[in-house]
Amino acid sequence: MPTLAFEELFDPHFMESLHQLRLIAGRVPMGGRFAEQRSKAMGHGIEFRDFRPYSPGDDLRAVDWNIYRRLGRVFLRLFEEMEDLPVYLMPDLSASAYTPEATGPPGSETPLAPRAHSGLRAAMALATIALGQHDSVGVFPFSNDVRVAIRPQSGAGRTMTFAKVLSGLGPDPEGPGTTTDIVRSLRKFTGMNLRSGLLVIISDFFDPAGIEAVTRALGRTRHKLLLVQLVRKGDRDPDPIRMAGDLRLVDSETGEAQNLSITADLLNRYREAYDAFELGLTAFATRRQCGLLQLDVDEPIVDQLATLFEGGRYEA
Amino acid sequence: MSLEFLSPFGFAAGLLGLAGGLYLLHRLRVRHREIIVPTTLFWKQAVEESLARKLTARFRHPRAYAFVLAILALLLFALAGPLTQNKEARDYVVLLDGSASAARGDRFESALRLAAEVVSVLPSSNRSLLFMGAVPRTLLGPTEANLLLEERTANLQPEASPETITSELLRIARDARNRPNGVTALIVGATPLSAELVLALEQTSDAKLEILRVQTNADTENPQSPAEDDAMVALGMAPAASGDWSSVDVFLATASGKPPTVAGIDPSLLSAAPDSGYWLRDLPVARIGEALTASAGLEAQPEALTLDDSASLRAPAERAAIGVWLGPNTPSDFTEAVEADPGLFLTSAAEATVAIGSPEELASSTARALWNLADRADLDASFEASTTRQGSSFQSIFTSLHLGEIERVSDTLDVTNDSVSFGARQPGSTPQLWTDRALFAPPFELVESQSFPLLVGLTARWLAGTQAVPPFAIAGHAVPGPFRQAKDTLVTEAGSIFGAVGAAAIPPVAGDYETLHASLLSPITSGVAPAAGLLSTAGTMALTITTPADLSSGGSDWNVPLLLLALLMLLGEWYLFRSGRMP
Repeated sequence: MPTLAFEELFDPHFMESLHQLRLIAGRVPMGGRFAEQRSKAMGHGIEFRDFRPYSPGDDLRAVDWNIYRRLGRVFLRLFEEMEDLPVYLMPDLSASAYTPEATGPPGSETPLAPRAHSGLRAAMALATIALGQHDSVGVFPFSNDVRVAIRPQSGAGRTMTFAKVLSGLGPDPEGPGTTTDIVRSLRKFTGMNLRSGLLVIISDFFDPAGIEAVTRALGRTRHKLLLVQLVRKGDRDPDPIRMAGDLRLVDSETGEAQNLSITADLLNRYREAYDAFELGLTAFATRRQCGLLQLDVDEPIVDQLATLFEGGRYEA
Repeated sequence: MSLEFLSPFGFAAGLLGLAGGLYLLHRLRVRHREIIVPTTLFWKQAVEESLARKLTARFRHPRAYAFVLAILALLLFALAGPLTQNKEARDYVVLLDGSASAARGDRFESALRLAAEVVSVLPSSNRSLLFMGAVPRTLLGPTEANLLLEERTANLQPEASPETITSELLRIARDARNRPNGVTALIVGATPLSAELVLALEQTSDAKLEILRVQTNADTENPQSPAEDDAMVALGMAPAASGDWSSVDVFLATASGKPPTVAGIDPSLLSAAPDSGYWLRDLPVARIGEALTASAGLEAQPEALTLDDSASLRAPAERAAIGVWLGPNTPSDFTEAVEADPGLFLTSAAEATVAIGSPEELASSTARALWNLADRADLDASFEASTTRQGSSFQSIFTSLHLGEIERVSDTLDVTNDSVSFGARQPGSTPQLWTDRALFAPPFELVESQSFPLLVGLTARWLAGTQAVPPFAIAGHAVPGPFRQAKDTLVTEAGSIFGAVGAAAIPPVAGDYETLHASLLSPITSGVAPAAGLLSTAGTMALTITTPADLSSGGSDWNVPLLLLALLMLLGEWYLFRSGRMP
């Protein structure tokens, strides 16, 4: 299975186009490092947030002397503490993301890049954005299990490290497997007891367990969620030339074969099934108020990310 | 509507075969095309698994089956050549003149092109093309493809022969009686046909035969020069009238009447025949060699049509002698004459070919032919020629027997108040000759004549059927000239009256004939053939002229519309396939 070339991932133009984008959290949990994200903690930031009465031991530098002069009472000015946002990237490395897909008439098929490559590029983009604003970023690729590729770390200077690691990712033949098991992977990820942050799942979400099981597992996570769904136009509307006649469809993950004869009715039922799948994912995102980006893997990544970062920023 | 290339049964059988074959193909297991997809999750929900890897499966694609069957049916229908006809379907017989006269200029090439054009516009299921050479040959039969014509006519050339269209038309006219829609004979070429003949043929066919001539430009662009138009029209051979067993008489004639050139023969030996042609008498068979070749002498004329310029005849094979039985009361002079003749020999009554004797002696004879020596009162001849002593009539008998050159009979022979007769029976019965016995007794005493042995020899040979030029007035043969004055008419037993001499209907040989029309019977005498290369315009205008364009208006071809419809259906199927509405 081909991996993504480093040059493809660390393209200067690609990196440059990401500088305008920012990842903003509503409030990051307390306990993080000093960074650029607003946190729930009060501290030494520059953004004024509130007053409170002075208590012994408080830092006298925070006393608002103007109020004391007018009211004769001592109050402290409270500022927002700026901390980092942990960003956990979970790219899907299952076999479905590496399925060689083709376009055009049968016999003259031109293989398309695996959708995993677009997922990795999206992960690289998000990592670059987060690292650029001093957030910590970790990479946890998954298929039917999750593993740690990069522990959460910060610093814009680590961009190249991320690029190297991401470009080296691929389906591990010695790994846990090539099937997709989001439920198990999330359970394992939760068990890592990482600081609450933004969990970005980059996947086609083709989990044999079904979209209901996936959304249930997603709903149990305490992290903020950003779902990046890797899609292709042919996912819903199969190529009528390629997908015509009597076919033996082989599942890239399970190896199961499905013999069928393509008919109009069958195609309609297929679309209905796919629509139900998409509806399930969209309804979950709406209910959970998390981001859902349907990333067309055959279109430029940055342009589509820009729709997510409306106004140059995405607020998780 | 009719089918050009297939019968309705054949079309139905083909359609059933296609439907059955396609059905079996649809029932056969399919070989699935394998495609690896990211997931079959949604397909599983959408599809009922198709049964594969089984010899037969449920009938899977009725719509595709119907589409393919319809397209194949249209193609088969187009292949069958449907043809709608505005008038009733007739049979068409195209007769391409391949006789010698067609060889002049580019007449034959033009006729060939025209014939190809004609057959191309006729429905192939009921048209045929015949090449009318020396022997009629079929170039294209019904339902045969026109493309075969080019190959079959690649080396086709006119043949040195008389035209055969007339006889073929007679056959077609008889055959047309049994054709419900009639027959149209299309003549391509300049063969002359008289109006009487056309009328007679149409009557014969019960008005079901229509004869048309397809016009060729060559007919008018290449007029023929009469000066160049000559041919050998007759070359016949017969035993020598002189009775010389080792010699033959040869009859020759040219169309122009000029004396022909005979290879190896001095032209001075040719003597003009009484009516037309030339005799080469007493030509020793040994001088003929392999064959006798005569020429009309056209080789020196570069523009002349030389197909009929020469004719050749093989020398006669060795002739068998004729067995003769003589009755006990026959004059002994007959015995001497038979013994002297190398072509005759005496034999028993049972083995004899010719029996000679009184009617009583011959009554129980089994010989093939009889020569009755009877009293005048007992003569039983259908045809009779008599003469008396008056004038030169007795001499005319000898002349008619071709004996006059051998022995001149004096007109002053003292034969008082007596007469002699020759007679013969009708054809169909045993050939019999009746002769007045008085001819061999005083005062005539023909037995004493120097020509008596010759009379016996010629008569016996003619009766045996080996004498081609009989000198007797008898049914089936031309009446010799001298008898013309003796009787004006010959009355048969059936009461038919023939003109005495030169009658139009003189059968070429004795026998039964179905007399259709007088002009159908060629005035052929021994060895004489009608001219082949001669061009005559007489009667050519008796036929209605037609053109290929007139012939093509009889029907319309459905092949192209059907093929277009099949193509449209194919495009429709492709659209449905592309749009996923049909597998």
